[in-house]
Amino acid sequence: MSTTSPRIGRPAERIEARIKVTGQARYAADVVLPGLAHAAYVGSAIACGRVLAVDTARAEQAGGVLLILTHDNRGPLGDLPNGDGTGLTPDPRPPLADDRIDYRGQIVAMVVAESPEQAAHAASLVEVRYEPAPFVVDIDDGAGTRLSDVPRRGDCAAALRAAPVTIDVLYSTPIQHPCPLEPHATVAHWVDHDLVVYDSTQWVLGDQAVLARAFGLSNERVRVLAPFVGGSFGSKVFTAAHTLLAAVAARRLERPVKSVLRRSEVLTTVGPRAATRQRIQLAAERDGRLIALRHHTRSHCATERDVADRDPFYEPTSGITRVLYACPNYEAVHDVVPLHLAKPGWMRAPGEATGLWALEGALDELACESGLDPLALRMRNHSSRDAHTGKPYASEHLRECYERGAERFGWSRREPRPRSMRDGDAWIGWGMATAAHPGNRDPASVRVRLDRERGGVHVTVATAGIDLGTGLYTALAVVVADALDLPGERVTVELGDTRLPPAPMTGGSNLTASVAPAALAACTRLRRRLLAFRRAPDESADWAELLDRAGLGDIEAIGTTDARPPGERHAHHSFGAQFVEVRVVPELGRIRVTRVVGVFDVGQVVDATTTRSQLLGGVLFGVGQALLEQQVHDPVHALPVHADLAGYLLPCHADVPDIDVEWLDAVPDVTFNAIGCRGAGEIGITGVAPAIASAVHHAIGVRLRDLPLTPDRLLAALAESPRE
Amino acid sequence: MVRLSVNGERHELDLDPRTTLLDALRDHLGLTGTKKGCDHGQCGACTVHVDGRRVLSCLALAVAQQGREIGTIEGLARGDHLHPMQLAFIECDALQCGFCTPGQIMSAIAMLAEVEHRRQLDDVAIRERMSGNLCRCGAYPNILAAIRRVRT
Repeated sequence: MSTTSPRIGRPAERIEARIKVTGQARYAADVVLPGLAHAAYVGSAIACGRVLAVDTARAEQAGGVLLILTHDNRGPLGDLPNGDGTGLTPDPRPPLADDRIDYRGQIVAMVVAESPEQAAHAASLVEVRYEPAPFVVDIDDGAGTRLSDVPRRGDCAAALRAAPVTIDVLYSTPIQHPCPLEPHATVAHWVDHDLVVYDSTQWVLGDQAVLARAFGLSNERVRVLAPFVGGSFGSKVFTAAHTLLAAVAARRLERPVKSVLRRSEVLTTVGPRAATRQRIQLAAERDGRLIALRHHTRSHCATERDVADRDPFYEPTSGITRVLYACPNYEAVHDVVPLHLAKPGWMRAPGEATGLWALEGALDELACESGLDPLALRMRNHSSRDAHTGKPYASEHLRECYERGAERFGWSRREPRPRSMRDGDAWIGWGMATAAHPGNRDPASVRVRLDRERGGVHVTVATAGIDLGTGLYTALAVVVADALDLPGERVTVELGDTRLPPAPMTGGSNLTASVAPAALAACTRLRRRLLAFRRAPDESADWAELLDRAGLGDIEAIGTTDARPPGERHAHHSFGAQFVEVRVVPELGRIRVTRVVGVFDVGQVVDATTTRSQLLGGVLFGVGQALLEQQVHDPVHALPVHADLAGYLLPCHADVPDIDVEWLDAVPDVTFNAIGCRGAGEIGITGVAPAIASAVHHAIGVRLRDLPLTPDRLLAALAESPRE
Repeated sequence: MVRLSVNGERHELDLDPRTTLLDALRDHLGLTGTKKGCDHGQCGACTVHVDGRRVLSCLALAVAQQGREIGTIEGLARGDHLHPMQLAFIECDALQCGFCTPGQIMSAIAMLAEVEHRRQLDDVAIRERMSGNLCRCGAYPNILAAIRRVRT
């Protein structure tokens, strides 16, 4: 497919927007079923140790209580399928498996009652006795275990010793939380011994695999639906305890059960982005060319057992630093620090958002040290191939992103000296960073069905993949309407149901690149079959007429995207350049982002409207990462200090700068898939935080290396820095 | 019995006195367009209109709303004719996952009604007045564009 297709890449209207603005979109917690019972949870009051006894006597007497589950009476559940790729849970143990506590807030009892109010009240009456054990909740207090996988090339140590210019700096990121606006929710319902689950998930097939194993059912006896999900940002991949327990309770009660996490439970029990401590060592020639890059990361993980099982979930910071810049000597070392906290998980651009915070920050320092323009330094170290594997990128346009972004921002007018621009009581600073995210693609299948309908045909596109707000509904409609040359209103898209053709989890910006080509392939098959009924090769294709001639009322075809073959000759990667302006008032420690320009190469854009929204949202996610978001745990009680939205600060309307996002046109990655598209959901965040910190340095000459860049940190850094 | 008037319709409900307006709408009247994002008045997803003013329904008890007119997202459209704010949200792609959207729309409509001279509302003022409605997807620039479109 080329960009000459009439609709690919143009702005469409988000096709599910109408039902969203009228309140008709049904999210998991909106499902109402006859006899619905409601769950509430009791979370552990200790961070480590054992449950000695759970006294449910008072709770059982409370009005409306139907069932209380603890580890004493939860009943058997099968092994969970962790490790085989079919489904994932945060804990290899099923919930309420035993008396062991690994983190504060871990579910120790589930109360199910006739109403949510009764369930919440009864949960408050459950009394739990514990045997507490010592715990650690701060990454700086914990001991690290080195992971055996140490990607390296060349000889970093020797190069670092011999280089004319070196940088050796420590960057950190706090625990941050995906914190989607929709709390994690499940409604579980048994119908004739088969399980139906409405879930807030990124992966209906993962849920299905976990639930089928847990209940000893074949997969087809478990149906999971998620037509609408209220954001996720990585946090709804795992099939969590509340989902499994809802199914347990529903079976026991023979009634549907609704299980919705409270916001405090989301922020305490749903895995966050792990904290990191990153040491970056750079060696460079005087002209800025990199000779060596050593990246040593400590990130936190769940329990020691997680490490012993050799399956610690860690923040994969070095995935991006090893590939991005031409540099002959490279080494990445990773230590994991077990903490008594909910097991960390994915959060938008895992690894890239953290790894680039450190690497791009260090590069800005190298630019200052070498007297080079930060953009010129990136250009000098540009690599047109994956720097680690040496594979050339099939389609790579980063230099154009740099040039175009610099032009739109006005970068050439930047005076390199800090404290060079002032406006009233604020210092103005400009910074930039590279944005990057790998191209991901997974096996997927899509069914396209053409039905005879009054006045023509109607097309239904269906796949199990999920639209988290990412724009998949619209992207599939665009691809199919374009391929079959039909008006958009004749296309319906069905998503998020295990009964639909299988699709991968929505993650790693993979889904459009996986299912859109499959939809195109299905359309190609349909076209071929129907065009055979033309009377002449130049006869225009009227699908209704051709269906009639074929004697068919409908016709369908499945298109697939295959797994990526081992030994691909090319690498596939998205890139971008992000430029930021900040206003800093040093006396108040206040940083305001006033302007962000980003230019991206994400391959062929399928739909301009939703792609633009994804990139804008990514930038704002980066603003939150940079200035606002952190979870700190009380060292005495092991609770997050910020377990609500008044404490865990998300960017709000008033935090929004002027954002200008653009992508390169006509740059399809044609060997990646038939459309040439890569994802755009995560790359928008990746360069924002380092660009902001670099802009702050440019504004006032103070280097901040710990996220988030809060006023207290800026004031402390100012107090320590020599005044110019 | 609690008497509620919602979107012009009168209802008599047998409610637990602890029931919030939000839970009454969602669990007892089936009006699930109003969302529960935090249950603490911190996210704005549950914003509804009470006598034309924006109210966080998770912080309002249902029993206290008797004799008032409650408006929800389901009551904005007249048949197939959407409210101008709903149309503007579609045209500006002022939503992504859609979970905060009903609250944003309800808040935006009431916010415009709060000011006497709408045209004097600049971007900074709109952003400030809308800051009680969080959007994790980051649709804010497009929400602002939608509100500006309706303001003029």
